[in-house]
Amino acid sequence: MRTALHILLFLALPPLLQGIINRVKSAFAGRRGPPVLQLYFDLWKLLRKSAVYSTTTTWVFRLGPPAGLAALLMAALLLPLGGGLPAPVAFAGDVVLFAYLLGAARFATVLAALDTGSSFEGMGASREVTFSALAEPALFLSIAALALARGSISWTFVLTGQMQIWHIFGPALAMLIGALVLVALAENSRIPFDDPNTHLELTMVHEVMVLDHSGPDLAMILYGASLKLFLLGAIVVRLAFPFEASIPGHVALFLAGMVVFAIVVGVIESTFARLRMNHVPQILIAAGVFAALAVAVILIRVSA
Amino acid sequence: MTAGLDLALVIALVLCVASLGTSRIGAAIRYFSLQAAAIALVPLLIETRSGGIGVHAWILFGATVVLKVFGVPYLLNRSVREAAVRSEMEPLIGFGTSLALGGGLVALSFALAQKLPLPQKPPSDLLIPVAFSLLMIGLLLIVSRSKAVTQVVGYLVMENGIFLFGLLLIDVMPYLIELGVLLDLFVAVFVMGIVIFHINREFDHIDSHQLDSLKD
Amino acid sequence: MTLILAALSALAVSALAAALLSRQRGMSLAVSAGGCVAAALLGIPAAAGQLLGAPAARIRWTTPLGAAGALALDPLAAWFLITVLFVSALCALYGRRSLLASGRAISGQAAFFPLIVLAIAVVVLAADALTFLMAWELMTVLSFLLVTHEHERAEVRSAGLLYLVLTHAGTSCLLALFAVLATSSGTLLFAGMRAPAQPAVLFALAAVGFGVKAGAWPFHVWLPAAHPVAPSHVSAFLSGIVIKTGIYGLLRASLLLGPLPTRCGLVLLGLGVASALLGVLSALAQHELKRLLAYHSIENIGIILMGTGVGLAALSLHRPAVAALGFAGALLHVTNHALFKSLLFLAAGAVGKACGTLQLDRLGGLLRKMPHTALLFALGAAAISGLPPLNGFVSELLVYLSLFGALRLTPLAQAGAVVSLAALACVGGLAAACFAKATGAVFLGTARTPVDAHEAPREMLLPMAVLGAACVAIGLAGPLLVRALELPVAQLAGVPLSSAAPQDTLKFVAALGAAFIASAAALWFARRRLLLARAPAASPTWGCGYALPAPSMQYTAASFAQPLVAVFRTVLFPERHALLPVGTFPTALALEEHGRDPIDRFLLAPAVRAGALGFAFVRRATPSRVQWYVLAVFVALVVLLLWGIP
Repeated sequence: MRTALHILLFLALPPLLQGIINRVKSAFAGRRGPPVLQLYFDLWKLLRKSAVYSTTTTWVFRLGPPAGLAALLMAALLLPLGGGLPAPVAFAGDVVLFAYLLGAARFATVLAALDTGSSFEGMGASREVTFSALAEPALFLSIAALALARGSISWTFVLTGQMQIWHIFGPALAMLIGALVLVALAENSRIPFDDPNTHLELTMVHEVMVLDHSGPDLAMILYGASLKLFLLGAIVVRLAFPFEASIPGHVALFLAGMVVFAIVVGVIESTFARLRMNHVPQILIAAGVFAALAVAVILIRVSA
Repeated sequence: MTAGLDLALVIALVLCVASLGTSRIGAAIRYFSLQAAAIALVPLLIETRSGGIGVHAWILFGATVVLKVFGVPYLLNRSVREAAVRSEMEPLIGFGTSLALGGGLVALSFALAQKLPLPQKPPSDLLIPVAFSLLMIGLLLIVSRSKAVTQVVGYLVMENGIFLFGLLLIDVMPYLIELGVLLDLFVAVFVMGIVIFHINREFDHIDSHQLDSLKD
Repeated sequence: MTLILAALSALAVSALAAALLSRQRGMSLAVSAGGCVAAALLGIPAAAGQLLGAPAARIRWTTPLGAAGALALDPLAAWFLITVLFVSALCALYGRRSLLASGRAISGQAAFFPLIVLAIAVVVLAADALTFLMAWELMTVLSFLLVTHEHERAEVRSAGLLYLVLTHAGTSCLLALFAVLATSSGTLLFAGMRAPAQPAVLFALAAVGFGVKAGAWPFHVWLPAAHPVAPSHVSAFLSGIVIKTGIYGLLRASLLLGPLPTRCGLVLLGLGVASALLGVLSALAQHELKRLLAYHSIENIGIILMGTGVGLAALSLHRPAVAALGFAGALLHVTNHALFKSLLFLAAGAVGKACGTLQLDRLGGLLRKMPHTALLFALGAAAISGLPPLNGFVSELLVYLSLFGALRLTPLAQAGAVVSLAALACVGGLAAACFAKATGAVFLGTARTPVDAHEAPREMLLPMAVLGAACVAIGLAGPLLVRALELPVAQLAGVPLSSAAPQDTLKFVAALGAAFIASAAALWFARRRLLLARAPAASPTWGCGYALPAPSMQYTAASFAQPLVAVFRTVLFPERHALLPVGTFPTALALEEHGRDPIDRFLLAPAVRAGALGFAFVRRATPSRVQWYVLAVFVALVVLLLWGIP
């Protein structure tokens, strides 16, 4: 029953997140903006459409979206929403599997992009792999910090807990959350790493990789992207507000946290400009350094 | 019989000195072949002194005859034929001088042999001096000759000397070493034959003077 | 043990038969491949039995000079033996077809291959120093001969020479190691060896000697030179098996040397991190497929060394559970790397044979013409990037688990573990990037230069398919792996693997892997269903409205890797040669960027130049005729003789 609720939340909620972000950005621009449920409508429309495949592409292109989405769905099975809603699958080391499933999704998408034989997709693929290769150390250092702090390498144990955790690991936790927010923004190609709104070659990373997908494929890609943002957002929210409550209260608090996260992302997207391509590695390495500092602080705290 | 053993050793020594003085390569190879025959008899003659010829001695005799009396000279002759080498030129130090040096080395080896402290008395007084002489004359051939084939013969004569030394330990040294020595000799000559032949393919002479020009 | 001996004799007999039959190429190659297959069929069951709990088998003999010799099959040897025999049989089958088709003389390749498999099997089984060193030397010489097959090309000869010189420098360290061990324990047998009081120095010797063979940084310079010039199945064998003998030697040395101080394990961990990072970064900068794969071998050796280093460090700190995980990761990665690297090299060989070039910027779009090769290469690429559900992920997961476990040890170990975690994560991402580049540049898109390619023959596809199937099988095998690794890990870490409790982890990984494949398939069919009513249309790739798209407009491999190479330029030292546009209507433009291995450029080449300069005077001063040398020897001998006699 809990598992069913968990799966339902993870399947149904991600597009809502995207809608909230777009609404926030529109508010900053003085517009009304699209409805919050817009992405649901888009997905429904795309699923009913036909597809156009490029003559250059092969089965690799057709495999990209299903494989990517499948990987993200498996990753969703590993994340808990707190002690009340544990992950359906939990074991020691599932943090590593989570990160590498995201990597598998990325690999499938990149290969599909290269299959089109277009310079746009090649460019997007090249930048995507660069940014994610530099974001991985930050992610794993954060996981190491959490492993040291909570004594476990399973998301279920790492993301459950009480608010007291802030008392024990205050500054380190703040640095960790900063690093993880940067990783989440980088992995999902949001500002300041990429601009999801434009489709110019200068600013495209993820958007341009999926340029040739259409119909159900594009639906899978869009849904997968929103799911990825939801997953990484869920990690940040659970770390920032590690509350425990009864199931209805728990779900409500979690949803509230996700809405806050979406608003924060929207604010960041509206107030910051996109970084120059050469500066992106620097900021990712900075995220890694934050995470390393968090590790160091926690190490001292734990051994003291 | 000591007499037979001494005779074989002396014949080997004489043939060795004779190969110092000859200018014809075919003759040098023939002298080596006869010398090897004499050396081959030595294990049999040593055994007869102490009573009963053992299987080990017959095997050494057989192997030496097959390899050094027939096999190696045949290979050398074949190399010489294919390389179309005629007679030797003057050695680096002249025939007369090399004969004189050879005689001097024989004297030196007799003198040295007296001084060597040996654990047991050798089967014949001549064994050690002759072994030494063969060794030194072989080295002299290598050093003083320019044609590669003669240097190979000199190497083989050295091997004969080492073989004689090995016979001192005929009771103690196991089989394997003897056959190993013979086999490695066979391989060495085979390789040298091929080398000489191939050298001849590239150059007009198998003359070591010409080989020097390979140096930087 | 009789089965093992039968396998060894099958190898020896087939080598001899292949040598005797060397006139008939077909028969000779068939005999040699058959021998390797027979050896695998005989040897693998025996070794597998050893892994499942059979008592260790041993043979002893005494050489005529009084030394004792022995061969022993213990779990560690059994693990390596299975990998060696399995991969070599497949490489031999591939090599048979590829050498037959090559049209040039095989000049000993057929005879040498079973012989080198025999040498490696003896290295793995050897239980005394003399047998080990003799088999090691035989393996080195034979691998040199196998690599320099096309010896008329200058770069092949120089690569072979570099390999030979560096390997022998390593072997001299091994000689020193075994000499000290033998004299301090009084026996050449491994079973009787005891290390003297300071094992750290001996371990350093072992690390250098075996590290050269394994291709660890900074001893790796020979690897990227030797792999591209060798025939494909020899490259696959070299990368898959020969460098693993270095790892085997290191593990065996750690067993012989007894308890080691913590810094040994940490230094090994550091070397592993350096190899992994620098290997994958250098691979990103390569433009030739086989050189790229060679640098990836260095990266994977780095991962194996990381696992071994953590294992040794944890052992010295009395945490055998962590050590078990580290050793398990290292051992499993040995096998996994042998499998997917051979697969990749064999596929690269098929591409090279079909297209005549392996320059990434000349290939492209080969998936349509070589569909099976492309599928298998993509499978190998996903495996080597460590992506679930394949085997690379499982071994990297075990290494990760051991690093997380090391987070609870002493401060120095903790620091090392943190750095290694970040490094391993970065390496994973970079490896995926590099293989996306390789797969994309070779098989996807459109052909950058017109190439007349055709699919590889079935006999070359079959070994690749078997390797690919093995990768998938190990990726989904989970709990079976714990059972298989139980005894070898127990031998190394002192406790069986199951005491570190990875069964749950591996079980779930296998289950999720299967679920991943199943859900991807389900989504594929769901989409198929959705599109049934509305047939998809076809059109050219969208090019922003450009009217004349051309293959040269695709992203090249070099441009794909350029952002990462630019970020890491402080360690890669890329050299750029550019002919930039001049004037209003520029006519000539060129841009070329390549990197030379930093160790080669800053350490090895200057050292060789300095040595040559230093010894130039010796070359000038030496006499030219052979006779002078012999005279010198003669005189020296006579002088010694006269001096020695009283």
